[in-house]
Amino acid sequence: MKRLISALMLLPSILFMMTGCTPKVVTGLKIDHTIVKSIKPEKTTKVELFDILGVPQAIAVQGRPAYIFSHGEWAVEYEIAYYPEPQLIQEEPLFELFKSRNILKDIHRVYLYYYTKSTREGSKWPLFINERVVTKIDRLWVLVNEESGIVEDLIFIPSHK
Amino acid sequence: MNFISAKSIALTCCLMMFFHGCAIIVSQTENRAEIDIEKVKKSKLISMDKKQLFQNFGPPLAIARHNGPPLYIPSKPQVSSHLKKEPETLEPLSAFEKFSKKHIVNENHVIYLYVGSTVSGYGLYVSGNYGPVRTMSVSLKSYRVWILIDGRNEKILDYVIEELE
Repeated sequence: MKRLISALMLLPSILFMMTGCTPKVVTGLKIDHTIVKSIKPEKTTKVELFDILGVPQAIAVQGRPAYIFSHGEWAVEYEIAYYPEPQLIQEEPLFELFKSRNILKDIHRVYLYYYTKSTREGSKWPLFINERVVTKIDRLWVLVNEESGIVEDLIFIPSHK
Repeated sequence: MNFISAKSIALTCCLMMFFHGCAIIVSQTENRAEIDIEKVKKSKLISMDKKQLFQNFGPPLAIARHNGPPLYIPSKPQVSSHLKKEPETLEPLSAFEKFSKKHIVNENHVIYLYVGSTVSGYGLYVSGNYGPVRTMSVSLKSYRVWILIDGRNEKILDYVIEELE
């Protein structure tokens, strides 16, 4: 019996020590297939989209570079998470996504939403720690007609399983 | 294993955990999450078309076209100051130069640019008078993947992976 108690006492300590702390740095609201299915092209309005997902991390207008808010992630050399500065990008790649499926006009905007999760995974040993920082991103691009305020199309690429 | 030794091992583990905290001895990170370079290397990009490329990797960071606007490329990420850095701008012709030896590029060709980076660190804990001291050596590799596409049939013709140390 004492052996069993000893083993039970020891096990959580060893497991905790080996898995280490696994804090997560999360940016954005969670986006999954259920949420994406609730956004109906040609039906959902921009206001409804904001109710579901909030303000987008970037809005692309044709002919103007766009700023994207960067996501937070763990820094390797420090024991901290950091948020890089917003990034200036070409707007064209965002419209390119929808080009083959839609006739794009000046009244169109592409809203970018993402959800990132940066985690530390690995094992801890008495004199050695092996750790890996993994950042996964789920991205959703929504084509909105600014004149009618209607969502016309969307593309979702998840990386979280 | 008797009861006392189990208790002492548990105590030792707790003490080690206390001194180690959540720190890193060896670590790796996929910095940002734009593109997973390992996935790129394993993919058969040449057999893909634009649609499949988007399905796998999303939109590129930048697109180069003949007589198109300059490309904004985020500056190479810095290991210790991954904070404010102005993006580089690159003329589209410089992007087409990368394929000029193997292809006769024309105005139907388009180049997509994807970027990615990985950071890895190796470190050691040394016990000092005031507790453990950590030393870390961190290296960063950033990648630029240039993909040449035929704009007429949207097929991938070629690609170049640049590794920036």
